[in-house]
Amino acid sequence: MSHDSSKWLFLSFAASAVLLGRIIPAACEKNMPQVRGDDVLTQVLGETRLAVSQMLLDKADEYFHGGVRHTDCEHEGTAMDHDEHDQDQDEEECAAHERFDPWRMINRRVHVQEHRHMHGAEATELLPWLWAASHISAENLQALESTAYVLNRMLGNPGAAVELLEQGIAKNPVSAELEFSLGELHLHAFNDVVKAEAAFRSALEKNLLARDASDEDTRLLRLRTLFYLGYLSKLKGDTRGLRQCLREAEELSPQHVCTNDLRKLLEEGASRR
Amino acid sequence: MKPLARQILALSRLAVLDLYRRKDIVVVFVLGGVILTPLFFFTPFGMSGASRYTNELALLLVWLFSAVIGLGVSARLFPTEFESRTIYPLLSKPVSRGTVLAGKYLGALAAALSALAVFYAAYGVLAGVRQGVWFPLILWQAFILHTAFMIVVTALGLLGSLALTASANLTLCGLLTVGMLVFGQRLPSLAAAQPVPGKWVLYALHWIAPHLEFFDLRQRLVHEWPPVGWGVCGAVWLYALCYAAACLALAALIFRRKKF
Repeated sequence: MSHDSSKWLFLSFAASAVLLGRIIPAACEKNMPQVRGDDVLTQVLGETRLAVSQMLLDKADEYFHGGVRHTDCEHEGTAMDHDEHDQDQDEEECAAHERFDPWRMINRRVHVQEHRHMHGAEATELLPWLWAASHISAENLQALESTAYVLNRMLGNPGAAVELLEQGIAKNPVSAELEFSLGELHLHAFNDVVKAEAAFRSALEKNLLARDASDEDTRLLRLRTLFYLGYLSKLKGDTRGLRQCLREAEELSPQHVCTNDLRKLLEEGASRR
Repeated sequence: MKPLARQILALSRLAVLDLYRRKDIVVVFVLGGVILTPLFFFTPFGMSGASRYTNELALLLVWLFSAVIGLGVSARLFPTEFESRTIYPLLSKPVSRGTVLAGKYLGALAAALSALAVFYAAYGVLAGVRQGVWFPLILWQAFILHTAFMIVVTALGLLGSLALTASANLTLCGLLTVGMLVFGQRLPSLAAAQPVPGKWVLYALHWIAPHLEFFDLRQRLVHEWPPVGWGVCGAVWLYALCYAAACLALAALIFRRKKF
């Protein structure tokens, strides 16, 4: 085949591909598997970014446990918090394996088998991985929440945690989880009941709009949000608001700990009067 | 000096000179600098003080570059001699094939170990400047076990260079090295989870393949766990020597039977 005909063949293939790319979405609009508005590249990279972000979050978890992955950890916890009977059993099992497997025996001595937890300022070591996990994919809500937790609780920097959560909310406008975390942060770290209530109200609204309202996690988050809103109503002396929260919580789960706590709050308010 | 030792030394010198003449180490240092320098100045969320991630990445690069240098040097020794036909004048001299093999192996090992020593010295200085801890015991242990890794890897590369083509040798040795470093520790549990044919293949691999993960103390070094017992280090070194000796014996057998 001559060089010219190859060139024309390539160009005609390219033109057909472009043409089909235009015709198919228009002709089969209702049967397209993809979400409209996202091109293929964004969707593919979006998924990859989420996977990479999750890997980085797992790396941060590994650092938190002293460089030990949960899958590699044979003795859960340190000797202090470990059940003595289980430990004896583990050691017997390990000894039985080692009798037949010298390679395993060496590996168990070279590589650390138990884990430990990071405390206080040592948690700075987690930040590079958490930063990368939360910036690579804004859709990784777990990364955003974990990073906010480490910044606030372990490193005493709630300002940075609020900033991160607000950025996360801007990128995930339907996420009730992030609003809830922001509300908790405003309440516990800054004692700012106004901002906390606004965040919890927003979390409740977004939670009600959630696609799968019957999902257990969604229901649990709604109960916890209702508890906080009830608590804030009590602080304001708004018994009606507290009753409303209790009623909604009872509809969701009458025996749940959050519902019981709301009942206690109402009873405390009534006994004081 | 005895003639045999002099012959081996002369052959070894050539391999070391070859590594430094080709400036592999300069390339590796520039690449390492380009990767690591921006990370030293990184302050996530405006908070400085994290150093383990740079230590981990620096050690990962040390492992990667040392494996590349070890395999590259050992896998190149014989194919270049065969291709340029310089093996004929070499064997026409009064040296046995065993001496040539031993000389080449020791040369490749010396070249790889000299590069490794430079890497660890650079890492020790880097960690000392950043953390104020200069060459702790665990770093020495990591270096000692890493030298055992180089003993095995160069022996594997040399064996492969006599049995396979250069590209196949590098690919197979590379896959084996990475595979064993990543999955070596988990092979028994992976085997236990497989159905029967796969199970026996993985168990065979567990018993026969080189357990290169024995030599990897990065986890202890980065996360400041206590050093390993010297008895364990001795056992790991013994394993490395036995494995390398087995590879070299097989290589000697192939080289002796090889017709040019």
